[in-house]
This record gives sequence, C-alpha cells and structure tokens, in this order.
Amino acid sequence: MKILVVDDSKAMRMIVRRALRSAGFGQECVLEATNGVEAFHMVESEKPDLLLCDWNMPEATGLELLEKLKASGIDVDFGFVTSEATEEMRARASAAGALFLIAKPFTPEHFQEVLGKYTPR
Amino acid sequence: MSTTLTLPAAGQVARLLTGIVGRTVTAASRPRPGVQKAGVKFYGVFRESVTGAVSVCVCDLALCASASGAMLLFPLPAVKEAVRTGRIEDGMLDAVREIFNICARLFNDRGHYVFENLHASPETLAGDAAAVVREPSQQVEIDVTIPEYGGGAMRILIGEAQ
Repeated sequence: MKILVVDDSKAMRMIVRRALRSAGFGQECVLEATNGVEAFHMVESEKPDLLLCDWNMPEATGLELLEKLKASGIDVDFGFVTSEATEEMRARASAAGALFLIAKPFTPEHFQEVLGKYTPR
Repeated sequence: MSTTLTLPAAGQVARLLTGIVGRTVTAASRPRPGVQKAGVKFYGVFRESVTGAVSVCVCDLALCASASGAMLLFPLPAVKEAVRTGRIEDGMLDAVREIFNICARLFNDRGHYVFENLHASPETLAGDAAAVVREPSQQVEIDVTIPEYGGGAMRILIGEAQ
C-alpha cells in the first residue's frame, strides 16, 4: 500500500512517518509532498492508496486538493491530519469526501484506530 | 462588547506538549508573572478568526530548543548547543513553528484562534500583537519540564477581544 503524506512542515511529515511506523504501518511505502499542487501531481504519477493531508498549506490547501481530486474523477482515500479541528472543519472535510480528520497532536494509537478502518492490513 | 479569555492552565499546557513531543511533560505556573529571564525568545501570535483578538505565546530559547529537539528526537548535545549559541537550526525552527501552530488549541476554549506567525524578536511584531506584549489584559508564566531534554519558560499573554 502507498501512503502520501502532504504537509508543508518537514518536521510534521517526519512525525507522521514516525507515527505510521509506531502504529504498525512501517511496511507501507510512504511518499511525501509539501503542498497541494505537488500532491496532486504525485497522486497522478504515483497513484497512492491513501492521502494524509494537512489543512493549511501554501499553493493549495488540503481542502482545495481534495476538491480538485474529486473534480478530476480521482478516487483516493483521503484524510486530514491538522492542528485545527473545529466542528465546522470536520463538517466541511466530510462534505468534501474526506474519510477522517485527525487532530494534532496525535498518538500512534490514534493513527492505528483511525487508519485501521480504512487500510487493508 | 468586550470578553475575556480564560488563561490556559499549566496542566493544559503540559497535556498538549506531552502529545506533541511524545513524552510526559510537566508544567507549573509561576506565582508572579513578569520574571521571565532575559535572552532569546520566540513570539507566537494567535488571532481569533471572527473578532480579530490577539493573544501571544512567548517561549524562551531553552523551551523551544528542548521541545523541538524532543519532537524530532534530536541528540541532546544538539539541543544544548542551540541553547548555548542562541541559534536554532532550520529543522528545529520548522518544528518550533509547528509546535506554536498546535498551541493555538490553548486558546480555543473561547473562540477559534489561529496561529498567525512566529517572530524571533518583539520588534517585528505587528502593532496589535506588540500592544498585547506590552500590556496584556491577562498573563501567566509557566515553567515547563521535558524529560531528558530540559525545558524552559512559556509566557501566555491574552489581549482584549475587539
């Protein structure tokens, strides 16, 4: 399985990778993108199975990326990993087709619980 | 209309930082604010998305270096070197920015505060943020301890809602 981690913070991409390893997803192929535009191109070329995406990023936000993917007919499992997690944001994420929203800070257990529902293990 | 925020409690800060750095952080409020030591500090500015109210979180270099070092699992000597020289390398600074970003949650019991930007000097703060630093309506100083990495001081400054 391929997982694409999209976050403009190199530190946070590293933390997400670490959490994935600790949550038992260490065998998966993990790719990285630094913003929504780069992520869109990587989805087209690398065809990941799951995106873990920040909300606020330069170039294109996570929500804009998700909307663009849907508008392009690209069906990929998509979840947000973000520091802001208001009810309004959760509703917008869900309406746009996101499967889940994980709030920072997160734990490997949280990743295990949420991602386990959507990923073949 | 003017509303006031509840100051974040030390326990709330400890829980949030524990989640960020992945080890059990402890924190204690100082009885009297205004005694944070001189030296390099980082200023995180937070703005409420509806009212525009500003709050500022000031962390000393020791806290920024130890928290980012713990978050990134940096070797302790690298953290000590950053504190000694007063300079944080780019990778740690990226982590510091992310820590401040997550710390927006400290203010969200009374609104939707968003991390706006990070400053390494009060001189570069915008007018309203600088005013909060000069004359906060409420403030608390918290000593933070991060196992193995040390810790430092955090000062939370609340401005009046607009």
